[in-house]
Amino acid sequence: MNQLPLISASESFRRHEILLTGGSGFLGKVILGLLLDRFPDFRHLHFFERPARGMSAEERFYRETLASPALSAIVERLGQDRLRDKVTVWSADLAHANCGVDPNGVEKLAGRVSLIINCAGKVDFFPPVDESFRSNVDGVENVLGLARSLGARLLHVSTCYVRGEADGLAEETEPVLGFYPHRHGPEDHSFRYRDEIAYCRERIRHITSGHGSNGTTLPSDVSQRLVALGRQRARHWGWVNTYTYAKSLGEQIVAAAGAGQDGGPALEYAIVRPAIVESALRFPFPGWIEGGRTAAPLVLMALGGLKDWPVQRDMPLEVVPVDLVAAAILVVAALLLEGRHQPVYQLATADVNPLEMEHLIHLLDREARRRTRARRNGHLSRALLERLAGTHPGARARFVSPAQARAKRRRLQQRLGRIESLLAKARRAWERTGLPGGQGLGAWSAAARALSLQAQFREQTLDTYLPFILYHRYIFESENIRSAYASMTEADRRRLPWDPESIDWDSYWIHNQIEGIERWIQPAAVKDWTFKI
Amino acid sequence: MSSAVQPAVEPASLEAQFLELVRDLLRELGSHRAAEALTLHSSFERDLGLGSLERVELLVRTEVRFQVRLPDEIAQQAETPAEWLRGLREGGQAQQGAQRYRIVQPARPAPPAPAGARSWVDVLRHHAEVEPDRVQIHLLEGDGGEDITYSQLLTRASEVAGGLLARGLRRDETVAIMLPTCSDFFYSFFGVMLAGGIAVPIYPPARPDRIEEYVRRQMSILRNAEVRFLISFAEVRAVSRIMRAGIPTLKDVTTAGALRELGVQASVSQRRGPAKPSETAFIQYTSGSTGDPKGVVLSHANVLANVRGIGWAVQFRSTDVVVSWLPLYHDMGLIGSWLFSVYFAAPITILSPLAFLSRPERWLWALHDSRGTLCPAPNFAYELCARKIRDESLQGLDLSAWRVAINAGEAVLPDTLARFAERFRPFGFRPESYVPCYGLAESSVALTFPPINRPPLIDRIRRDEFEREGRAVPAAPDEPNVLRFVANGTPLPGHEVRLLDEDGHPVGERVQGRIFFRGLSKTAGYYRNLPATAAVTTEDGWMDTGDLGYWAEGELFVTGRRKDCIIKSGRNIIPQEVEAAAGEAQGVRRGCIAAFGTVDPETGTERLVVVAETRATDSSERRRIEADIVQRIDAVLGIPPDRVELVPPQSIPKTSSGKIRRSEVRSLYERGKLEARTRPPWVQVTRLWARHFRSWVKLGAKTWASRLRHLGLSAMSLVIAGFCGVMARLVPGREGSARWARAGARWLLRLQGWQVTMRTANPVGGRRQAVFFANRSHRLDPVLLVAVLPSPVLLADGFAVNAAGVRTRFLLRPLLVRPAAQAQSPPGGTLRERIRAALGRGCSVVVTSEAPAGTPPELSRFRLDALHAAISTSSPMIPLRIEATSASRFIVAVGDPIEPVKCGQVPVTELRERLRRSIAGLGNGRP
Ligand SMILES: NC(=O)c1ccc[n+]([C@@H]2O[C@H](COP(=O)([O-])OP(=O)(O)OC[C@H]3O[C@@H](n4cnc5c(N)ncnc54)[C@H](OP(=O)(O)O)[C@@H]3O)[C@@H](O)[C@H]2O)c1
Repeated sequence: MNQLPLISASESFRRHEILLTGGSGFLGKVILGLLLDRFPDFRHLHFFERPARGMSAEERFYRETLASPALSAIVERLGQDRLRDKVTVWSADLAHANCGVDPNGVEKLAGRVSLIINCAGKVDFFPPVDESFRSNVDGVENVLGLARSLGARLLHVSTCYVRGEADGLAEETEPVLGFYPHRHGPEDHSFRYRDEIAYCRERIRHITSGHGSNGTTLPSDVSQRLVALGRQRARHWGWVNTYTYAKSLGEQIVAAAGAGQDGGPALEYAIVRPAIVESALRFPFPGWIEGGRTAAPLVLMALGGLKDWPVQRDMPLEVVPVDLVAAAILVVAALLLEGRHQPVYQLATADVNPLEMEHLIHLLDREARRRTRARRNGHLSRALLERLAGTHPGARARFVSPAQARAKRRRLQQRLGRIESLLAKARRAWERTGLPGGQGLGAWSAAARALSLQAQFREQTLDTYLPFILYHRYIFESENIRSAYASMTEADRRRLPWDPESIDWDSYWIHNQIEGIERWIQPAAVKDWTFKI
Repeated sequence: MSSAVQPAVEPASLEAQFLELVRDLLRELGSHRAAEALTLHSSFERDLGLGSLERVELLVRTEVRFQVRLPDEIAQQAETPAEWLRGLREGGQAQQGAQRYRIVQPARPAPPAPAGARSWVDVLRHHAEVEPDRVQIHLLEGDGGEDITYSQLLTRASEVAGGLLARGLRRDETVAIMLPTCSDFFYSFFGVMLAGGIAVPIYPPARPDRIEEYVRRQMSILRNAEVRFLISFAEVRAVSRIMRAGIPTLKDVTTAGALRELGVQASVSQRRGPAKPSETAFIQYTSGSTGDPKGVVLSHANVLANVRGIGWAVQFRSTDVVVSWLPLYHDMGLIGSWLFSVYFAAPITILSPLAFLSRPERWLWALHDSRGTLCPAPNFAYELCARKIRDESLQGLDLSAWRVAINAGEAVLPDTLARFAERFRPFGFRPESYVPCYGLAESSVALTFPPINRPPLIDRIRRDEFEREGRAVPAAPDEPNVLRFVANGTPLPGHEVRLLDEDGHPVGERVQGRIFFRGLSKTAGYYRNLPATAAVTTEDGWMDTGDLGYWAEGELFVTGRRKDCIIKSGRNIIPQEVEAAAGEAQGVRRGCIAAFGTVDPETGTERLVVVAETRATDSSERRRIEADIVQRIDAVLGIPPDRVELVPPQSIPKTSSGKIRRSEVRSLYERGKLEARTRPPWVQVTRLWARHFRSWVKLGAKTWASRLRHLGLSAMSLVIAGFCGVMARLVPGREGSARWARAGARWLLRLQGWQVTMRTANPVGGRRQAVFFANRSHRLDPVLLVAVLPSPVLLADGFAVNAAGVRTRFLLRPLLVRPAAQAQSPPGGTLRERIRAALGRGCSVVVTSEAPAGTPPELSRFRLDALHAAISTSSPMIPLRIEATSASRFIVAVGDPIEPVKCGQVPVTELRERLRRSIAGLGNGRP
């Protein structure tokens, strides 16, 4: 069956120059790291970086991106000089035509770059829709334009969750163009990405008119309306948030260009859709993670004593380690360079090695209880209150329906409120007596307040989670990446491993996820944690 | 309705006149005793023996006599003449006041059907999108009505779905719908589908005085279906406590209204992935004239194929209009009428069975008003119309649009066809419209159809050869004693029918055989009833219909049900024939006769028994009737019955659709319990509570003695499980605890009266440790496996153990693979490490599928961790398949061991695939 010669990624990367966008992000860094570490004699990399925090693009690349714990060791090994040789940093923002690269630059790049890996994206769930558009729609159009003028191919990173409410088995062969989650079948042509984009842009213009858009911050009511617009457009078609709606539009722009349906010459492309990208399994080191990723709130809630889980017990959580994703992207890059690619690659794990919620929650729960047993410190007040409120980390996890969970949380809030007001009364009474020791009671009510805030936070977080742990059950078919590996040389397979079937999830969650999250995620980031998928 | 019109009669004499009317009717029916004893407070049913059909007759007579129009319910709900009179005084209304609901014809012909639809949700969504405002249903209620458009149907169904999801309905859980014909039924039916559940329509209680049998029947259905919710009308909540006690899975009894409210508030996102064609769409409980209820599982593909097939057979036109009064819990009403119309976007006019029964002319007027073209009904409906409708109520009726008059669902009688055609020819009915077809719930609804636009083809055959040898020899035109059968046509496209003799060989032309079929509409089987499924399916995919028939001139002639067939003196006698003959006798209640064969324990020969209901109580009268029956049967069949049993009215059990339950009559007869009568409601309720308590103690037992025995047993098993569990914890070493737990498991099985058979080609185990992979079929799988597998065997994960009861948990916990000593985090090491450690110590490990019980074995979910552990310790992997053959019998089939291949040579997922395939293969009777 396999008469075609095996593909060697090392060989391809030696021959072709590659351009990477979004390289300063979580996933981008690992792609960069893998390329530097596993293919030291690659030909050349063009790196698009946005200037930020008072740094120019170049400065930011060397001082911030390369300084990340993920890359510093590799950079040290290679040496800065060699890097300057191999990597050209461009100041670029995808929101502008040609990604903000001036005509001179474009001329320099033309004919050199064979492949653009577009890993940039705005991953917030419900941002003002224009922001999401800038990176995920306009950005894609601009990268595409650039790819055409450079004569390059395009590897576009999207997400599995463009499926939206169309849960169930998601097949890689489902046509990209014309897809929307509520689609009734291939004959349903009611969704045209171009009309939708035009319509949405028109509404954005209408909302922002008179508020001077470029750069200046918009009044909060206007951004509220933009947030609402995104939410409404997404819901209308069945996407669960603005992010996936915009990402799906981005995919369709690429697919239309690929088919030459947008008026331009046909373009060679591949769309790669990772599922939920989480901490590294092995590379750059086990547990590497950055930003408040999707699982972090889940882990922290479990360790922090969430006991009533409104989840579907047998629903698999589609998590995939970041280094597996990065490796797979490089493999697809090699295939694309050799013209042996498929249009869509889904990178997910549950179709071979599912990890069901029940197993995961029990695992986290056991870990939570082990830790409480081990620690035994902290305020007595807090521990007692936790027992009273039924959120003690030492209790056992339960599976409940969302309604039960909601009712329980309401009762908990009431109870905490009552405790708080009782404590306040007691404290006032105590102070009136003029005796010392009122602070002790103060600590108690502070603990009660903290618990109630924590409960509130949990409530909100859980509600964002519900689509993924309760309502929608997806299995993402990941057949293409498996066959892609079958056409790689043995050496490359070892360099860029994709082996979700050998992941020991128990160990991954305890060592890579929990330990990684505790190590690399700042608790300060807690308040604006969102999902990233 | 509110402004009551006084009947033009003096109140005092009203009473007397009405009683006189009833008395006349009773006399005509031969109940002279009852006529004499009649008072204002006699019960129609118990004291006077007036069944629903007789009361329809009474209704008609009352109306003619007093020139009034009465509410329909009166015929079914008034218990006594007094109540009837009250209705007559209050609700009586002048005849001319009757106004029929206006049915507006669709403005446009139907849009093309969604040929590419893969599920019923697709179908509904498609039409709601294409023509949201097209009226789907004209629902006639009383003298009013309601129109339901596609978009209303979708919106309200979505609200119901939202409510169900908010109440926690999960994918593929069952929801019973117990509603009479009303708009809520339609919303609930699609609501359940939209929510990802499986609808189980069941028939609603019609009469308050039938509570006992009713609830008992429903309970066994609901229990078998494992329903989570019951959608019904508000009043049923009253008995819901009783129901919940008997149905462990039942979470709530609720109404469509409540669910919709909840759905609107909760606004849960209710999208689920498009249902796959192979997924179950709903479960149809067959009215099951015999035995326990069987739930026919129908997939989306089954029902779509059937509806498409019917559309092809009737040559559907875009201007067609459907009319139906058939109950919606029944295949002909649900699939053959309603879903058919949903699919083809033909408007359907629906009236309730009650409305039809109380005034059959309503059906015909509905056909007239909506210019109905397609309409299915069983034979008795045609008979009822031919006999019971007064000429006055037919003035102006026009049936000329009616092009397909399907007659199905019970035996099609040539006489009925002739009578109906004759009576309604003046109103434009054409005999070419008749479509006598054959079908069964197991093939969704329809199986064979004759060509349309052809008068029914009637085959006259000689009685003698047919009854003696099963040969259908055409009779000479002048031959007197013949049998007649109506041609049922040829199978729908995508379906095959074959006739086999008792030895399984195909029969020739004009020879009677058992009807087998297969095809696109065929059910996958009965829900959670393997034995019943196995009994009617063959290995190569054919299903035994249980019916008999013969082929002639390329068409199928259905002759009857095999089970009911009476074989006497080497002759096959068809019970319907006997019953029809007996029905001619003076003084018996037509349609309330059962004929069956029973084996005489002394002579070993079959005896023909006829049971007939009669109101006659006078002994000389009864003797006369008996003699009459004997003589009539003898005249027609040439054999007199061996026994004629006269019973009071309401003694013969019937199905929900009015068919005689012959085998039940037979067993009642054999047990001498035939004369049992309906008990007063309070007795029924008390008995129900008694039953409730019984189930509360979890006893199937009937007497106190066995109850005590059972209590003793469960106490004993508690003691044993406790003792063995404690020992398993106390003895040192895994081997010891494994042995104790195994002993405990064996005792538990023995006490439960369970039998487990091992089916294996080569002996299991031996010296070497192995990993066993088992599918999941029952909550107690771990107990079974621990009891039969060679010790020491440990369990991989708490998953399966946790699902079992406390006793089992206590007993088996010591067998869970234990934490590896040195591992700290996660506590005790990962699952993979634990299994590896257990294997390393020479213990075997059992891994059960984590898919929910009932998942087909080829979809079993095994943790890859277990495979990795087996590979790294070179332990063989042994597939097991557990199957329940009855409630207490299990087979554990053992497959060939799969040797672990070093990782890298064969992907671990491929090994898992092999395991699944092997387990799936173990099901087909392999050793
Ligand atoms: N995280 C997940 O679970 C997940 C799952 C599936 C798919 N994905 C996809 O994977 C890609 C990377 O995700 P990530 O998790 O690495 O996100 P991330 O950490 O937020 O990184 C996003 C990257 O995109 C860059 N970017 C965004 N807008 C840009 C613009 N207008 N011009 C130039 N650069 C821009 C960012 O640059 P700055 O640093 O300058 O902001 C950053 O480097 C995204 O396309 C995302 O949709 C992620």
